[in-house]
Amino acid sequence: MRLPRVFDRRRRRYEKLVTEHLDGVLDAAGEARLQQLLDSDEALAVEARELDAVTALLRAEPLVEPPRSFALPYAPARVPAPPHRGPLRWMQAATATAALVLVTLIGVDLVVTPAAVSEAPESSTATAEQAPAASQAAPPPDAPAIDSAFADGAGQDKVQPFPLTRSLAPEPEPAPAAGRSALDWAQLGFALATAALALGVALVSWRAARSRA
Amino acid sequence: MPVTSQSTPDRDDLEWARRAQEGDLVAFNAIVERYQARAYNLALRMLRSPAAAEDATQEAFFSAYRHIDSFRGGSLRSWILTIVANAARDALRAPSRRRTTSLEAYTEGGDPGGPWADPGPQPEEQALRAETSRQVHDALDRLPDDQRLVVTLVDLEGLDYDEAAQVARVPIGTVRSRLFRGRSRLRDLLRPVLELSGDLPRQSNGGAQGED
Repeated sequence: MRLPRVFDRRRRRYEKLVTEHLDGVLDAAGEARLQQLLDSDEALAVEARELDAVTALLRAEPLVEPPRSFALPYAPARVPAPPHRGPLRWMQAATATAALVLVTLIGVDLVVTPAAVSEAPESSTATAEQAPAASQAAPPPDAPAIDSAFADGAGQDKVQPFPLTRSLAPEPEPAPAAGRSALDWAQLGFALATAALALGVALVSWRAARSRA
Repeated sequence: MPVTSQSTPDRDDLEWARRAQEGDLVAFNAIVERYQARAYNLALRMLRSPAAAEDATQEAFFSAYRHIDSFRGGSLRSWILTIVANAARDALRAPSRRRTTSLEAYTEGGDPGGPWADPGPQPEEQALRAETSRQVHDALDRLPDDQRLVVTLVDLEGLDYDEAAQVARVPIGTVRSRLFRGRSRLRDLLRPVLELSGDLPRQSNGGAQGED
C-alpha cells in the first residue's frame, strides 16, 4: 500500500526536483537524481511530462492588455521613507543582549546568595556551639559568675541560655561584601542599560510608525 | 521556458526610480508604462474582476509613487508587484468597495472570450487560441488563492522564486510546494485542453490522480 504523500519522502523529493526542473533552477546533480527517479517509476515520469505540458501552456499565455494606461496624471503627496531599520535592528539586538546578561546576573545572584545565606547560620551556629568550648578553654573574665548562676539552678527562668551563648560568642564575621556588591552593581548597570535601550527602541519604532502613517 | 531571474536589478529601472525619488513624475510614469501590464494581470488574477483589478492597479501605482522613497534598490519589478498584491489583498478584504463585474460576465454576456480573447476579427486558429486561453484562466480561477498567486507570479509573470516569495510573503519552500500543487491541480483541470492539443495522451477513464 502506498504511503500518504506527507510521509512519502521519495514523493516529496520528486515534487521538489520536478518543480525546480520545470523552472530551470535544478543543478546537474539534481537533474541526475530526478532522472533516476523518473527511470525507476513510470507513473512519476508520466506525471512529470504532464506537468511540463501544463507549465508550457501557462507560459504561452500572453499578458492581458490593460484596459487603459495607469500613468499618474498628477504627483500625489509623497510619504517620507521610514528610517532605515539598520540602527533599530542594532538597538534591538543590544537590548536583547543586555536583558540576557541581566537575567544571567540575577540567576547567578539567586544561586550564589542562598549559598552565602545558608552558610552564615551554619557558621554562627557553629560559633555558638563552639562558644562553650571556647569559654571552657579560655573563659572570659565574667564567665564563671554566669556558669555558677546556672550551676545552682537559680535564675533559669530569667536568663536564656541562647542569648547568653550568643553574647559570649565572638561576633560572626560578616559575609564578604565585595562579591555581592559587585554583582549588585552589575545588575543595576545592566538593568539601566536594558531600560535605556528598550526606551530607544520604542522611540525609534514610534518615529518609524509615525512616518509611515 | 525557465523562470526569468532579475537578481541583478535593471539599470533603467534604478535610474527611473532614482529620478522618481527626486520628484520626476515623467520618470515614474515610465516605470508605470513598463510594469502596468504585469501589475494589472496580477491584480486581475488575484481579484478575478477586471474592474476591481483596474482599481487596485491604479491604487497600487499611486501608492508606489507616494512611497517611492522606500525603494532602496533591488528588483523594482518585485517591489511594484508587492504593492499591487497588497492593494489586491486590501480590495479582497473590503468587498463592499469592489465593483462587481466578475469574469463570468464576459462569458455570459456578449464577449465570449472575456478579457483574454484576442480583439478584432478571429480566424479559426485565433478563436481556438482564445478558447484555450479562456479555459486556462478559468482553471486558474478555480485554484485556491495561495496556489493561484504563486502560479501567476512564476508562470505568468515570470518571477523567480525569491521574487515570488517576496510578493507572496511566504518562504521559498512554500512557493515551491504551492507551485507543485497548483500545477498538479491545473493538470487535472486542463486535461481536456491538453489532450485536444496533443500534449497529453487521451485517457479513457479520465482518471488523473487527485491532488491534495
